[in-house]
Amino acid sequence: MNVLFVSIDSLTRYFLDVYPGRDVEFDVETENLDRFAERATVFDTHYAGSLPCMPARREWLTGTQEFLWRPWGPIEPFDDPLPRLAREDGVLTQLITDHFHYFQHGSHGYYEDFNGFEFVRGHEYDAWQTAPRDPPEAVYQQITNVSADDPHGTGYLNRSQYARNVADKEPSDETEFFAPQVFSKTADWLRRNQDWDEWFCYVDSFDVHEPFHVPEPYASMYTDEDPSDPDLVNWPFYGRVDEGQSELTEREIDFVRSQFAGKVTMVDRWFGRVLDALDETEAWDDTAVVVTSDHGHYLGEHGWIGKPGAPLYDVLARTPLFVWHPESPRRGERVDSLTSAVDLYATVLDLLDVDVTDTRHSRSLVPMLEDRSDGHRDWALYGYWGSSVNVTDGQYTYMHPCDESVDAYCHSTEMMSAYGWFTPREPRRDAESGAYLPYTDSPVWRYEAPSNSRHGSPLLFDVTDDPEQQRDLVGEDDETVREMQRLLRDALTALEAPERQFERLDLAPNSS
Amino acid sequence: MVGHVEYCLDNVDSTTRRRLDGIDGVTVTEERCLQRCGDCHSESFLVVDGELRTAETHAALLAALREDE
Repeated sequence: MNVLFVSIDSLTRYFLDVYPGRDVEFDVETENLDRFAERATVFDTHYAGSLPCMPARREWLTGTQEFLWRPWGPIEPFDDPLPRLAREDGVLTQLITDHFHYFQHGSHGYYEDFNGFEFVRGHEYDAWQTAPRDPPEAVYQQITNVSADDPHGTGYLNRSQYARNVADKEPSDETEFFAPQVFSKTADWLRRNQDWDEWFCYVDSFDVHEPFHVPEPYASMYTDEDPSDPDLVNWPFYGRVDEGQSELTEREIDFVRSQFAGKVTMVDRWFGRVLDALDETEAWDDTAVVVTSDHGHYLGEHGWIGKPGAPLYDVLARTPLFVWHPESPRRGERVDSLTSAVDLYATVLDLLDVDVTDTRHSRSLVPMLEDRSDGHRDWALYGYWGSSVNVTDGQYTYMHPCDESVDAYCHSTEMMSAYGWFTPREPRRDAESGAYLPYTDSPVWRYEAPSNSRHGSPLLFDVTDDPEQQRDLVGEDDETVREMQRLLRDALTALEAPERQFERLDLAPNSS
Repeated sequence: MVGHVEYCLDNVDSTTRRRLDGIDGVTVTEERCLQRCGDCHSESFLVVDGELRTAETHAALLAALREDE
């Protein structure tokens, strides 16, 4: 069977009609995701695992719940990347993306195993265009705090890069924007590669990710503001909306939300071209289609914007997942069972019929799709490396803080900055080496970096009764707190998490 | 009078981290990333009341903060 895997980055799921549970102030048009959801199996209780972008991709592509061991980084030599396993089994593999992090230093190894890759240049900080020296003012003023990004600066991750990258795009021509390019190329690839016996096409759209810079008609679709007003930003800093550099007025938040919603609709319209191509090529009967996202994006919920050092509420952690399996009796149905991002690795291998004995932390969803089996998993873990650790059983979400006085361990064959997204300027001369990982006998570096908690005390929510997570049950339902702590210990023990994790979380392994 | 100081975890050493967290009367926010990566990569910095401050060392930044109090 062929597999088309589509990630739509930062697709906050409650913006989709398919996933109600929190009110959106406008009716966001997503007719193509809606029509796909009618055909596919919709997973209601799907959670991210390792966050943010590249950690999520290592979950999908290697089945590794990496945040317990290391932060954002490369594919490791002891990983078995999905495209490599597929091509070794005779499956043609293709990557189509505008996600520049695949090509940024510090995160190599993700694209190299595909038979072919298409990279649409220019999104976010993609180090692409260097001219014009003066970035186009209209774009530049809306994407940055001008005090933060010197338009002539040569430092890393300067937002004027984006303004230069889009300088030649015609604002009234949406076909020149990113999601339209990615999905057009995907539709084209589907039409041109019908002669192959079996293929795996992995499409990673950086949109809906910020900057929320969208052409008309989407920019005006959900706002009465002038979308070109230089006083309105479409790429706000991450953080609290009520203080510091990330502070936003209600008007600014409303505008950002409208531009995000516009981008969701733009993505949806061009995703529809992919569905059209599947129709035209009559591919549905021998093609599985997986559509998901890596995480959501705070847009004022709980007082936060972006993906800052906030508790991992469901806005970020609970993600959309739709799977079309042509032979599933669950087509057109919804599944309540708890599932995790890391499961998509084994799922795709299973759909491709690639025989793999060890899928590390990943459990295939195919038995649920083919046999209606339930009880897929009792827990799902999610989080950022070095921070709080979160667990859900599908009804409750429990966020467990870490002790910031106990450093976390970073494990990798490479030395990476624990928090910055760069190769470190200096080697970690204090690193030890050894076979510290439970899933490989390969030696790795191990070194300490500070723990960073997102909240001082535990947080517990019943997301069945309280999907917006407004009522913290800690202090009110201590029995469930203890049960969720036990579940967290069970999960960490099952994954053979480092002892240091238990120390920094102040949890005893396997105690009752 | 300084009201709010933000810093990146990757940009400070443990001594600076302790000193920042010990400043009285100032809201101090520790972030994994303040999206000031160019500055973070090249020099010591703090964001003070929403504005970037840079120096060769954090000691100099902390000294300047004390002068503002």
